[in-house]
Amino acid sequence: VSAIRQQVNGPGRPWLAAAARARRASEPLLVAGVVALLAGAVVAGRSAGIGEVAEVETFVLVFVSILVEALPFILLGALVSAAIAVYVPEAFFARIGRLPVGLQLPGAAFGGLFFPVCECGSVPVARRLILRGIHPSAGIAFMLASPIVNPVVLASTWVAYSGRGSAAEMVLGRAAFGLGLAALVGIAIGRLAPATLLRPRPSSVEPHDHAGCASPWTRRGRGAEFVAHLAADFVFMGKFIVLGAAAAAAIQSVVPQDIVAGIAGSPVLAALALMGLAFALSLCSQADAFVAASLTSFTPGAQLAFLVFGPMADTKLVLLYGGTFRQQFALRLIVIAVPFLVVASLVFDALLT
Amino acid sequence: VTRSTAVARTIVLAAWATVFALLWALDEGPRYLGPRTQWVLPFGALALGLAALAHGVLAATQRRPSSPLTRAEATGSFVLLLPVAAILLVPQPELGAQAAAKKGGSNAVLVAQLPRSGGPIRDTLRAPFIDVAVATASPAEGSALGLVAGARVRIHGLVVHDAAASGTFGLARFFISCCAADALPIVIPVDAGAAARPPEDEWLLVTGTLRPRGRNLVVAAAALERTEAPSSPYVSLSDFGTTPPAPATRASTKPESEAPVPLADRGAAGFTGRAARVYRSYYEHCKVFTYEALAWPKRARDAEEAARLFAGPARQYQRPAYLGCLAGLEAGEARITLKELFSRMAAAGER
Repeated sequence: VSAIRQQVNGPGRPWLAAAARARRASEPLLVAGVVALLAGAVVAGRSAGIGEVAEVETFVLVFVSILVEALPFILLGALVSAAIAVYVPEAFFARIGRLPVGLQLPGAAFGGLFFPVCECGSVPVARRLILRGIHPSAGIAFMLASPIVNPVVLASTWVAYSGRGSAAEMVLGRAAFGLGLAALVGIAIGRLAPATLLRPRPSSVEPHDHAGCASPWTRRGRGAEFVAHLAADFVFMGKFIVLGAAAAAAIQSVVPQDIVAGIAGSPVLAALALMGLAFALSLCSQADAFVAASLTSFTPGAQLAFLVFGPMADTKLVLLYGGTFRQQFALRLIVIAVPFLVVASLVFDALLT
Repeated sequence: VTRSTAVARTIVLAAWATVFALLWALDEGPRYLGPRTQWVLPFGALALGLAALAHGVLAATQRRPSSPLTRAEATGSFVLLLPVAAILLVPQPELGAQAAAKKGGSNAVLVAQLPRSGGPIRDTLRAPFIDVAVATASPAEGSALGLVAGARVRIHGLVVHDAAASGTFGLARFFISCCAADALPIVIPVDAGAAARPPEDEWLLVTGTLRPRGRNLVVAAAALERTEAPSSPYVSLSDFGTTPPAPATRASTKPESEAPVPLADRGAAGFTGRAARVYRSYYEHCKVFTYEALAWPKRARDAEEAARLFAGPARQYQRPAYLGCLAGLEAGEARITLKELFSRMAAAGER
């Protein structure tokens, strides 16, 4: 980069150098401009008395409370995934690949208990596992189960439901249906040979490229790399939870109650609607329980469908799957998961009452 | 990671660390979080603060030349700063009657989900809010708790004009488990007799007697006391809604038969000219709404502000007064027909 820059800044091209300088200088200006814009909006909004409108108050309260609850868990998840990315050698995974398939599949599914990676982290890990000789069924089962059956996620689910006396049921239900669905999809799709399952070339969507994690700080030691990973993950996942919290707050403050109640009233429709919401919101599994618990008009079964479906299939994951697996992987996954979870949500509601 | 990216990420981390630290320091936690999840504030402040510090130091000592932020990175940082702006825009949001109407389903279903404090209650005047709510929605369970018709109770909550409530108005508290996002409104129907219906979102301490109404019970109010919002506005598994003692001046010496304190009886203080005439037409004849409600959707803090708001051009402020008058007519409290009222209003407007 610096070589190119020197070329650009070389003699005879002073205008280019000036342009580069202007661009560098304009960036802090842009940041300052955005901050000033936000500050201006706040001042204008306050003088207009927007905070006195009941809908706005409810929206902000719900929005902020979900974020205050969820962001520490996002940070915790980013902490663990950064630690794995930086400190755990890949050779460790290769050792598991030598076990028989009958052991690998349940082992991989439960592996999530010891590998608290987020869903975007588990996709490239699974790809690496399959390439290194782990059975595809086991690799897929690990990929789908680990964002659900991991300590940080189960802890946040527990916290989200603890005040209502249904924490144990929700945690157990989420873990059981998550493991079951992951194993089912692993068996159904993983019979394909790795060559027909995976995309041939290493994809451009690698572990945390999307989070801008390819760190130039590597030479400054693992500690620096760890901090860079952490911040990148926090910003990458944080923006999804902000949008998710905004959607949940809108449902509670602005969307007419008749519409919500109409959908929530039918068990099948409610489960389908919440799965659709989970797909659209692309929440991080470490924090999605707080959004699910806020959807109090819906039955616990429908909330459970939201909690199991979201970590397996959402907008950002479909992009990742597309870059990792051959076509139709995501489609097959959804075709299996949706009916399974509709039935699961009905069963769960029946068990609870 | 370019320097600008690093700076943007540091700003985001530092901003959120500040939010957590401030909410914790200012004791704003109970507004957003349930009693069991308060720990996330100090934890978040500490963890985010450390991350921001470490990242900031690395960004500041980085020697690589800077280059522009990617668009995705800039968007992510901007999105993460929006909630901070929202907090600054509405620094002390409250759940009120609007949220209760929006979130509420069937009150009986909600109350059935609630925990119970258990054992029989000796001093019914100190019965927690949740238990009184259970007793009004399901008298059979109430009698197991010792809350039967005739028992004297004191409840603290905010006023909602719930159409389904069988009393004059409802007194609501929100039950929260994890954070304000999962709050469920619990409404106790209150029958204030001939007294005017207080405006929504007002915090009241109601002392009264449980009386049967259909299959349920209502609280027949003997005294209504305006209060400030409590520091922990919600009820939860660990706070069933303890009732503050009544102020000493009007303590339990008050006889049961005494008429309720007329909340709305403040006259048209502060109004002048047309505003005063319109106000009086509604107030005198309908006896339902006060100047706070007339100034809806803004909330007037005092008579002066109410007068300013009400005298303004926005006719929509008068809609709640009209609805209130309608309610007064239906309840047989208004001393005037709507037709007569309208003609008086028109005359008041012309003059």
